[in-house]
Amino acid sequence: MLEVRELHVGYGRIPILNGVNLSVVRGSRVGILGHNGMGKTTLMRALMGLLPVKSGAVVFETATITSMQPHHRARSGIAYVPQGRQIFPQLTVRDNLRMGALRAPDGTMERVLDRIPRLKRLLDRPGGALSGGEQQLLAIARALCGKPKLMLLDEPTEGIQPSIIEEISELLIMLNETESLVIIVVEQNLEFIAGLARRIAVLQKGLIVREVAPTDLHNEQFVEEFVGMGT
Amino acid sequence: MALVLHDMNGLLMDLLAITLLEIFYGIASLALISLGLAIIFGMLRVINFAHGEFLMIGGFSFIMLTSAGVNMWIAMLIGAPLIVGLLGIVVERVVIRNLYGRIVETILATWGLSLFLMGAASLLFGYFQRGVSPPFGTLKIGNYQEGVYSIFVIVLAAAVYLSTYLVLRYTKLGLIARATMQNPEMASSLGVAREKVYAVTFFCGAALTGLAGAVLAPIAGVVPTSGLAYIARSFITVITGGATVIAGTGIASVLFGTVSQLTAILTRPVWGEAALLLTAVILLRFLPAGITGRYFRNGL
Amino acid sequence: MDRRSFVQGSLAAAGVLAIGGAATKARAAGPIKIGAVIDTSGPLEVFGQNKLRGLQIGVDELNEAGGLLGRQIQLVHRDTQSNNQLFAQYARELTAGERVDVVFGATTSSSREIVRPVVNRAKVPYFYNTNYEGGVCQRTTYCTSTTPAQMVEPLLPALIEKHGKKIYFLGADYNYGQISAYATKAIAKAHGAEVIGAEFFPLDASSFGATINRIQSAKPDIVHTVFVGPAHGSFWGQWASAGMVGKIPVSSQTFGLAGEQLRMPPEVSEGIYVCLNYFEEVSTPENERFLTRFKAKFGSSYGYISEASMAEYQALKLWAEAAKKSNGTDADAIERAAKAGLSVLAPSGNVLLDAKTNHCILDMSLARMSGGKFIIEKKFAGVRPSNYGDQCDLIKNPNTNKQFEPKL
Repeated sequence: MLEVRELHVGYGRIPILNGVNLSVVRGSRVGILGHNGMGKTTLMRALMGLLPVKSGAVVFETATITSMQPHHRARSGIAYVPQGRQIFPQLTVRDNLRMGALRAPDGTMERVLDRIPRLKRLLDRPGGALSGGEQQLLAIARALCGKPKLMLLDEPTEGIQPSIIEEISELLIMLNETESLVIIVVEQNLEFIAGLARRIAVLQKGLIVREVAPTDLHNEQFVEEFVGMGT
Repeated sequence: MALVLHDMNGLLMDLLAITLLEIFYGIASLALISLGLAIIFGMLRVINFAHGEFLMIGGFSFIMLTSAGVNMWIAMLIGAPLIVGLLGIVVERVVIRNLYGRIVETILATWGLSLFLMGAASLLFGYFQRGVSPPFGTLKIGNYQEGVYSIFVIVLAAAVYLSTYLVLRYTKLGLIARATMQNPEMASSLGVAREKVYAVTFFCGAALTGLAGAVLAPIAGVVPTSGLAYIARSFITVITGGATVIAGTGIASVLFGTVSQLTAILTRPVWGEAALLLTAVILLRFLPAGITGRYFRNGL
Repeated sequence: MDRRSFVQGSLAAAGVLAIGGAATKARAAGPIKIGAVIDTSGPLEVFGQNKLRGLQIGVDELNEAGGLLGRQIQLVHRDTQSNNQLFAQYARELTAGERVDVVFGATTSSSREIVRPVVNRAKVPYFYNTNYEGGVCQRTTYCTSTTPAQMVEPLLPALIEKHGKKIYFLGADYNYGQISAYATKAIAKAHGAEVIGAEFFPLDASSFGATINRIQSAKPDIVHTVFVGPAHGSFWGQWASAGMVGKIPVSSQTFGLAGEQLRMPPEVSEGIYVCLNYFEEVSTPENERFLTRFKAKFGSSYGYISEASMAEYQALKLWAEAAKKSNGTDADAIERAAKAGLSVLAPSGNVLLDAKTNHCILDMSLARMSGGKFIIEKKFAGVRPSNYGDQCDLIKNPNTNKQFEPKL
């Protein structure tokens, strides 16, 4: 469903991704584990088309989208839940959702709200006034309003209370299982990723260095090793 | 004695009415000439130094269309906005598109554009195009007489602001515009074609500028250098207003219109302009991000 | 188009003009050269275009008549682009580089005061030919167009007699406006009239509603105006919109100089009084000849030849006459002729140089706008220029070099 081949991305002359390879099949939940500065956000932004690719290729379904503009990617079924959530702060929750549902059929927003009922009573609040957890739910709901086939999430647990992390994890698993939404999430929260992902890739210095199984994350030796990689 | 008192009251009322009318006219003309600039600045963060020339071309479009036999109102309310709006699209494509986010470059480029448009207008239209006189008659208030056209300008400015507000607040186009302004990257990640939004925004800002140029043409007349007469005041209004298009520019227009007109009425015209500048300097000293940089931030 | 390529483009255009001028340059001891610093682009081109054309007509005439002192005349023009920074540079280029025999031009007073010292120091005669506030007093500088007194002295008494004694003055807030207000007050007083209100406007003022209201309540018999620049143009539209056209007569010292009467709707300009040295409508045989020539050379879409452009032509004639009389073109020769008494018969009438002030004694015409055209109502012969407190006397004090002002 998504093929990333030898992806090189950088800011100016500073290389960040040095040939990432990743293959994601239909129905999967992929976690990408990495510390700050390893290129997680760069990878997500490049997949969304917000950063130009230096070399390599990205194929989504049957189309090569390596240099496709973000709005075309969005329209072809890729949704993005960015780091920091990027809620439109001066728009109400409802208008944030309407922005997600620009091209969706009527009723999409209501169905999404049924999945995430917590947002219902917040509809008329400005997005900027929500708590971090609520904003994260809103960002996911906004992404869902576009009826995506693939959802990219960048550190969805950052700065969020544990109860909502749980809720997010359950929601994503359910969406994956009932609506076969493909999920790629980059994280450094081991527990979250262990509960959510079925496949885990480790990103280090702009490369996917290895893949591990979710059960490995309960293995003390790996955890020590991973924590050590950050330093 | 009672009769004299009544007369005095009458005179006072006349003076009050005519003074209010002057203040409203001052506010309306300031608000009209600034709105297009505010939209382009607020939405796109582009400082359009050719704004005065957009006003001038709006005025010329109106005059040329009218002298070609087009109905005056069609020329003013549809023709001139359309022509300047299309010019705006061309300018956005050719000059602005590659310069988003680079403030200094856009200033230099639009400054060059302003000189170019002035030169082009002097070749194309020259200094001797016969203007159109203000329509409608006059309104008598006691000893005073005011053009009905002034009232038309006031009503039109209010209508333009109200409809811009309604469009931004209640339409899908307005929603997309507001979202793109707040976070262009996120908007494009949600399927918004950013370039199209920018082009449409530029069209709307330019069209409103064209409308303002046409509305003021019967009063001010139009020459290729007319833009110079507007540019300073519209910039001061927009910068003082801050990035919030309707609230900021609206409030700044009300403030400056009132201050400069009141000062001009109570003292001398020289002080009217000076008061406007002084108010702007003081405001920007204490509110460097403009009025709406601190207040009404969540407004439109 | 970005700014840089635009600027390069316009510089290139200016370069073409300059090279065009230089290419026709003949060899040593060749033609007599006339330098012109005139804005033919930028905001002041509205004056400059026809100013330059006026000079071109004058040069053609001289050359057809066999030149001057047996030599052909060559016009070397620099487009100063309405940019004061260019005046000093071009004035130096013309005097030091091109070694011109005389310099004509500059429109605004500020640009004149940039050109004048450069040209004076080079000992080249300088002719400034735009109506201005008056008072420049220097032996090789000749100010040939009208000063405030020349406009106001014939105009106001005529209006006072016809309309009444209460005058309201509106003017631009800089020296031309202030000095004109002074002249207005003095002449009103001399004729038993009174200036009941005077208001001054910064050049970017475009809102005249409050002033019009004050005029409505003051009920003057005459409104006399000295507006300058595009922003002030708003006055006429607001005046008309308030229904004041035909209610109180308005006169102006500047209306028509930039062809305002052509672009203003007739309903708006109806009845405006103007008193100038020259109108296209002046009926003299000299003017007919001039207009025929002008239209033959430049077609008929030139706008309007106002006093501002005619003054250049008349100044050229005056200078040529001086050169002929003294049989030379250097500053001394021109000064000698000026002191001996110099006059020419020009399209506007008789132009007589006042040796004391180096300004001109001119025939003035009072015109009234009617149906979008100037109708000349009255002519005044030999109107003297302003000389504030009689301070300028170049015969007695030839080394004076300053601009006198009236005590305001």
